[in-house]
Amino acid sequence: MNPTVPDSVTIPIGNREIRIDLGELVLPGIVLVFGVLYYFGTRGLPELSMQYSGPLLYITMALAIVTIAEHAIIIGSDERTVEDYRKERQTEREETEGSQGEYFNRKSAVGLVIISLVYLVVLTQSQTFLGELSFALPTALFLGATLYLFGERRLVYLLVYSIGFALLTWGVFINWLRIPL
Amino acid sequence: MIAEIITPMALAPLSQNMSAGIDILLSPMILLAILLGVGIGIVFGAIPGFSATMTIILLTPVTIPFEPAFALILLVSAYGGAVYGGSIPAILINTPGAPGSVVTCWDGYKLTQDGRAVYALSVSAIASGMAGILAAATLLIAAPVVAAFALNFGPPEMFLLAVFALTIIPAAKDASLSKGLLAGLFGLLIATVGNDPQLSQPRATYGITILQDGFNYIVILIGLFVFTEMVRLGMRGSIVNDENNDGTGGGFSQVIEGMKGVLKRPVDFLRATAIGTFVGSLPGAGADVANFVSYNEAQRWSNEEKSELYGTGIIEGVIAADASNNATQGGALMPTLTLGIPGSGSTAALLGALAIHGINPGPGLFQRSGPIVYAMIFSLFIGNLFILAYGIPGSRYFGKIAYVPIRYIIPAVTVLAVVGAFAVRNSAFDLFVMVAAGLMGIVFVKYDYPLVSPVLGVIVGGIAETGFTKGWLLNQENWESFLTNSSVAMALTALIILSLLITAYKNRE
Repeated sequence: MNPTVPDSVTIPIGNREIRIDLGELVLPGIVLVFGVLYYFGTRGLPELSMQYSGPLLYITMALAIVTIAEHAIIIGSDERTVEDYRKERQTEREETEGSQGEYFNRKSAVGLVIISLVYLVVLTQSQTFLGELSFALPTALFLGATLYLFGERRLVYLLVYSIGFALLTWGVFINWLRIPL
Repeated sequence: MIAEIITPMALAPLSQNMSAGIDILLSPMILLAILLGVGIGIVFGAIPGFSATMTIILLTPVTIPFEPAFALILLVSAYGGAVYGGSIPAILINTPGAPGSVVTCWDGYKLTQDGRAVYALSVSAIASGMAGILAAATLLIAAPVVAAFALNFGPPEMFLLAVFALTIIPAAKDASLSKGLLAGLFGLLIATVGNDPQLSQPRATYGITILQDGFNYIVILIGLFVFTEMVRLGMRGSIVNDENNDGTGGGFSQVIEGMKGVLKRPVDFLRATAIGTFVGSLPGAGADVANFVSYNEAQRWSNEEKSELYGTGIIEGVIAADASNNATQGGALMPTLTLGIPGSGSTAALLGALAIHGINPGPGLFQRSGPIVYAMIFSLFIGNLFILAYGIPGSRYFGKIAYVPIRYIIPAVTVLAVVGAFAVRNSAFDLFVMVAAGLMGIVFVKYDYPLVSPVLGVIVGGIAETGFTKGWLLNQENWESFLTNSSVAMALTALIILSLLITAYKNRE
């Protein structure tokens, strides 16, 4: 594991230190952001509309804060230092994330997400200028690009796989099942 | 007390529904659906990283044009096939095809290393097939009773049932209480986006028209279970190696030996089946939990000498893992069909397929759609016989599927996930929701949040809100009256408290 983003922030307080695990902040953070957006998106609604979701919102946000306090903030002590904790977590994550193969790593995974997002944008916007090809062409390009990302370099394989699978899915889902993609 | 609650009227159409179900099942097309479904399931399940949940999700859009009976029986059969299929690469190449087959590796692969792969595969097929049949029998007997009992559930009971389903997940998955609950509550909150059921006021829709109907749980399920897994596979790559050492030498004698091996150990087999059926019926706990529990129990019940042999390649280890693994299917279908609350990620996906085909699970299902539901349950018996038929002679060939390079799997499955997410309601917005859920799923997995909790939260969100608002009104907005509405409500409240206490205790340990 070679993180480019710091895994944690350490704040010294006297003899002790407080370590904030940034990774553990992500999900509760998403929940809190969602909660705030939800709050602003429901302000002014009648009480009856929020009879259930109002208390649920506050309980969920409170639990997000409890989760941060429990899992993201570690106060170092003589018995078990923050550094010990960091090493434990580092080992755990390395064990579960060990990448295998030249083309399978964090960069490839990020690449997959980016290519997927580009694919979705093209897929949803291409109806006007690609017409009948608005599914098959972006799909073939997506398949080829992803296959290349994960290490396939033989042109014939890239072409046969991407065009073949794009046509197959077009035939089944667009032509036969009439899914309006 | 149950006998008093289940009126004879509720059970009256049982025999008519059963015979109508058998009529559906005897159609050649339905038998073809089972044959195809089990075969497809085994092939998909044998691909490392390809779970039963993903199999159902990706097959569902293909079933849209078919008759509901054909489509649902195909999916249920594929579900059983995929659960079994996961054990094949576990035994042959020490690579579980699905999370539910992790434990199968421990003894199964050791047997392969000893040159007894065919023996291990036979034991796996027989234990899986027979356990599936027993679990289906349990489902057949218990489901109508539970369904009839559930007809008496009022709004407070339905709300408490939804809450119980969420609180039991951290206990079953051995997860942190706060993380498990946060994931579940987040799911419940996501489910409230859209027009509220009382006044139809748009909640947090931000002017997005499709959000007036809320987030669709199938889309979230595809994101969390398929896109997440593809990104993770992209990160770690294929874990299959040592292609030449599949150890599938040996002849038919090993198959016979495998059969005898299972039949000579009825206690091991029945214990694993019972554990699988029970664990499967718990909301959120599927094959991945059942096989660990079963293996631990098998080891605990053994004498000291035998106990030490677990993990060295003994048949009892394979039986414990695979019988429990496949028995979860029957167990997991019980709450799904009778209460509308899925017992696992796979049954959550199946719940979506049921909705797409116009079947509405939950109390009253047997009255509304009795014949088709019985046909589905009966199909489990035939499906598990097909597992035996496919598994015994063919598992060594299915094992080769695990060697398909993962680079060919990831792009194709991602495209299928995109098509599947769009097909739910023909919305481009859902495609981005799917990706967002997938990215969130990575955080869930990395930081040990139970992945099934948010999905279950979104699924039971409607039940919980309707139950709460109606129950609150009926009980004059009084908590005491709400929680003591009936003996069932009190029992559910007690179970919620108990599951919270158990998880808190386990967390402290």
